[in-house]
Amino acid sequence: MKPVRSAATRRRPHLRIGIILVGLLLGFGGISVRLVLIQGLGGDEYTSFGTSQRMQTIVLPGARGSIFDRNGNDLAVSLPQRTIWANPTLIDRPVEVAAALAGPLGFDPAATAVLAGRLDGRSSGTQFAYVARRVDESVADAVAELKLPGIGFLEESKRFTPAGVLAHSVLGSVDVDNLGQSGLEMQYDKALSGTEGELVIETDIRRRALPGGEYELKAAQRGNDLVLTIDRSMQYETERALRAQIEAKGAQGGMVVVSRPATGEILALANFQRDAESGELVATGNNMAVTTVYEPGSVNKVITVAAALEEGLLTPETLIKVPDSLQVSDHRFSDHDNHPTEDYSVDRILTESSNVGTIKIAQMLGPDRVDSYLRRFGFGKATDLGFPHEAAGILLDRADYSGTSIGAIPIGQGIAVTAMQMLEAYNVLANGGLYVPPRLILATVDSAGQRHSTPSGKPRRVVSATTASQMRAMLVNVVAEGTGKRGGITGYDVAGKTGTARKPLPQGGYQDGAGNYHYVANFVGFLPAEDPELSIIVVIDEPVGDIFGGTVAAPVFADLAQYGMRLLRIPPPRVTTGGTLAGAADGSAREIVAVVEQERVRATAATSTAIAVGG
Amino acid sequence: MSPLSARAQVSSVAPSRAPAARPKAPSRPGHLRVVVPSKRRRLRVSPALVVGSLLLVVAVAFGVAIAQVFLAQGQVRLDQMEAELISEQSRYQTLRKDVAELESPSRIVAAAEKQGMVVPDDVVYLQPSNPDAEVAPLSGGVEAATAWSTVKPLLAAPAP
Repeated sequence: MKPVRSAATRRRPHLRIGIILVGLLLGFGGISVRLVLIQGLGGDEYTSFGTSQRMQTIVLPGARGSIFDRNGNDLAVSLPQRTIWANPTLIDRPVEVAAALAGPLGFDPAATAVLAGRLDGRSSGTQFAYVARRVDESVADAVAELKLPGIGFLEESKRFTPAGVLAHSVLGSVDVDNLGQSGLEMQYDKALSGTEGELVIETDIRRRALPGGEYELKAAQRGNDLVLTIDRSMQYETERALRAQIEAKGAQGGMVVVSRPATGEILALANFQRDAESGELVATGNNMAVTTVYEPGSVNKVITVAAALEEGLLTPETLIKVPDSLQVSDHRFSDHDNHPTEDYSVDRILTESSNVGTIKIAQMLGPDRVDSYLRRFGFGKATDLGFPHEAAGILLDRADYSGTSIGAIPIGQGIAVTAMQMLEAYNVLANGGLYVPPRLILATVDSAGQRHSTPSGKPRRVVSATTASQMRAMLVNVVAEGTGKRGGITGYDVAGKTGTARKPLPQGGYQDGAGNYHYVANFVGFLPAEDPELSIIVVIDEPVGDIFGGTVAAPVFADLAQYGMRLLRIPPPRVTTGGTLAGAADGSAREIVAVVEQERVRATAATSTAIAVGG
Repeated sequence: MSPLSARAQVSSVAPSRAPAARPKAPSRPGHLRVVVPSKRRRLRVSPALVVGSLLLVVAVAFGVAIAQVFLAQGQVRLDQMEAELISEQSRYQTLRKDVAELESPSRIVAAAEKQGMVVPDDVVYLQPSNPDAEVAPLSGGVEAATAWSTVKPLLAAPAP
């Protein structure tokens, strides 16, 4: 059957085409308008919407630089760790989720309840809450296996000290956000901190990178590494010896600094202190050797004597009439032992650590020169270490000297120094009269692995080489014949000085309520005396019973000096006639071995202890 | 011969009666006309060429698809390798820390003491009869620096 067409249609055959054309025009017009709205006017919104769907930005953490000892051993490293976080708005049953997390996280009921409160999105309204920061991999894996809703992970770096608390007071610590809070971590925080990077990639719906998609990388910058002058082995031995002596003497604490005089490099720096509450001896985070001052006592006498030699007032052989006590202003100073008034040589004054003799030399110098030389030796101002909270010491202004100052200060009372300052003063004598600033940083290593050596500080002359040489000879006598005998070691000439100082108490004065004095025992020295390679200061705080520097601090010095010579492979320059090798008259190998064998037999019989024979 | 003379020539030979009627054209549909065949020959496409072209198009499309697949596979492999790299770097750092812990003097001393070793109360050192004999370089000197320069660049490789 033929289709029925209207007459109009039959009459106007182009009408259909016109209607279709109009329809198409309207359709395309609508599409065009929509296109303009989407692509033009509303383009930015859709662009950002699309970008957010397919572009992923990954923050690349800038790792914190490591801290190494002088031989490249890790002392502090940062490792990526997973942090567990939650979006509380996605958690319907916070109590159950908290209970599930408590197992792998090891939370007790109280901590679990706190966590449940944090996970309750209805009360907090927040979309982010930490669950646990920087957990172990095993813990993170266990939590991930739970597949809990609203629980996510992010990566953060955590600081580790592989050697435990070794050099803790030097290294310092970082907070939870990896910012340095103390020690070198604080001092070099800017250098150690890395710079975050960013990776922008185009991903599919499953967050996989699209082939050929956008890929924009701004690489993270690793922080610089620090290479310290510290030697890990020396540091360990120093801490071991110091701790053992503090325990043995029932002391309240102690500090030791070991250095190379010629370069100012600090090889070891140890600090121990008893916990105020528990009384337990702990490796304190406070680098007391740099931040805490003490009255040094007799070790300070070398400054006065060196000043007098430098000024040409006397020589080591000059005789001075020394009574056993001396009135200075309103105080009577006395020597440790009673003795008749005698002619003491300067050498003897130092060897026997005569207070009166030293005061008489100081009186020859006068207060101005005493004050001047104390400052030239580095007292009264912080060293060049720049260590956080470093103390400058307490040194009276010349104008503030009292009548007794000229008696007290030369013998190390009424003056306060850090252990580091005192060691540097002795290093001046070891260095032929030059003050070489101490340093803890040997080099830095940038993010590309390029090592940049840190130069030594600029030396300055304090006394002449002649004066330094004379002082070294007298200090050798102190150890060989005087108060510092316990600081000597076989085969080496050791130069050193003992010091035993009354400790000022916090409430003022030197005597406690029971009328007792508290003491600081210390010993400073260097060896080999003829060409010093190692210098050490040992300070023991409030030893009980035996209080003297020569018997409390000097043995620690001897232990460390012996170990240090072996570590640094410094052979003895000659065989001395003292010590355990006294029988080896000409130092031949056969005789030495024979003496060693005799010693071994004797020691075994006497104490049943082993004798190690090493090079 | 000029045109005038030609016309005169025709007139002289034409008959004296009326001109004969034109022959009648054959009957044809209104608007149809004869189309003179073009002298150009119609282009005859070979079936083999058509099939070949189609195959070529399919092959190209298939090739593009395969290339895309390889690209995607490559990207996946790249992602995997990057993840592996990060994982291995993390593992390396962890192992480095573990090694440092194992090398730490406190652990070694503890392990030695566990085996019954003790620190002697008195240590006696042998010394050479010739003090001027050549000795090994000091610790932390050239040896350490050389070892460092070899190892350190590997330790401080830039983060990904």
